[in-house]
Amino acid sequence: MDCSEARRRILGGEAGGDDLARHLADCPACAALAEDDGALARWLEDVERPPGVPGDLLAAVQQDLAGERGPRAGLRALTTPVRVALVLAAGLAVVGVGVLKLRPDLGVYPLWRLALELATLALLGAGAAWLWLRPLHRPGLPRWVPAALLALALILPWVLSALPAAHVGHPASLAGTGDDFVGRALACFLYGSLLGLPLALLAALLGRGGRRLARWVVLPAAAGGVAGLISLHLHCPLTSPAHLLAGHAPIVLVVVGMAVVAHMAARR
Amino acid sequence: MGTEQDTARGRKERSDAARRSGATNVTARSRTDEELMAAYAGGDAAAFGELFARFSPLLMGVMRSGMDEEAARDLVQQTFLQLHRARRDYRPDQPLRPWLLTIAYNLKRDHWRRRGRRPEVPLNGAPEQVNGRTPAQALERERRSQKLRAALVQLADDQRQVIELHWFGGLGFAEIAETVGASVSAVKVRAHRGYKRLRGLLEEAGSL
Repeated sequence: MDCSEARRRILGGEAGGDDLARHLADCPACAALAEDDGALARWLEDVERPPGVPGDLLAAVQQDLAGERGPRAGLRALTTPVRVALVLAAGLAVVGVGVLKLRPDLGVYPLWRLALELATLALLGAGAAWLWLRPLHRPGLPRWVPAALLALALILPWVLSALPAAHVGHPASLAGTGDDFVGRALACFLYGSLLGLPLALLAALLGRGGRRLARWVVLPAAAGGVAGLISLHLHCPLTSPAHLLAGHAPIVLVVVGMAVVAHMAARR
Repeated sequence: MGTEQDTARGRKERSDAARRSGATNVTARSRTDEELMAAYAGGDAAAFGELFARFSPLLMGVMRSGMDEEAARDLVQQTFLQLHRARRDYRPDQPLRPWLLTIAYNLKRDHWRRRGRRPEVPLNGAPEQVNGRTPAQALERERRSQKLRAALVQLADDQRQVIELHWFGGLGFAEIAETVGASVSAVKVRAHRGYKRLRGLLEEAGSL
């Protein structure tokens, strides 16, 4: 006996029979419905009926589908592995810019610290991108997961920047102070932000979030900002916390802020 | 209310019917849900209409639970749009119903989260006039519906979700487990606890 048959028997008041008893012993849900002579089942049956579908719903859906045209629709319709690969490739390209002109102080920078910093940022960036691109036909994640990841992506750059300088043993690392401070900080900020913005935009375009999910557009922005920050960290030799706090740490926050502003402007 | 064998049985019945008919052209009506979706993903735009016809009642039933009509309608519309966008991600060896319901439920959950985590309890909705039912009967049914919705919002999210899929959606436990990403035994326990809790709430409200 299956649940449909058990339901029919419960609603029909046919509570006897070994087969029903065996099913109720095996199915706690049907057993709960059968309690008290099926009172709950009868109540539910009398309340709800299979509802109709609004007559104009198909037309509304077809209108939505007709609007799925152009390059953006094409990007969203790509399979998830392809979308992920595109974002990954773009992220590697952003990071690769920093690798092309590596910081000259690598010989004295503690490698364990550099690896830890880069790995942590990379995980956050990849995580943000994955959460954004994750297909909706996968079971949902707890609400705190994207919120926690976004919070970490925003906070961690400040924490890393505020740590004691990794070293003071290379002349290139000692610049960016005094009269040079603002100019160097601004240059670094622009470097990281301008590298991260295209990736953020690409990731946003590849997302399938409809208007109901657009509030998480900050996730691709965080991914882009983090990638820009990684590229900058591979390139910039300055280790002064003041420089890092002024020129490196704000990148993710600003890129995310720009995404929020753009989203709000688009909604108007 | 559905069974663990419903999906496989449904597919087999439709395939058997197609073979018995001797039709050389496989019409949309004789195709399984999975074949329709695969056809749509492959570029057969006509398959979408049949998909809509088959699944819109189920989706409306699931979305209406704990929500007002307009919000439910909007979310069903969103679900079909997301089905379209994700069509190339669909693998024909996957059962379509839990695949689609997972999309629907993710949209519904996100809707509730934006509204402050509580499903809506529509108030003072006009009773539907069902053929053969007096206005008093229709009003009583609407009152019962409101009491049910008020009780459903008090359930834990995972229990409410399983009850909606089991009772209103007609899914079997295997499909429910696949939709919510839990084991069959876990969803059975949730259904049992949910029905018990629902019964208790309705008794407290004097409805049972």
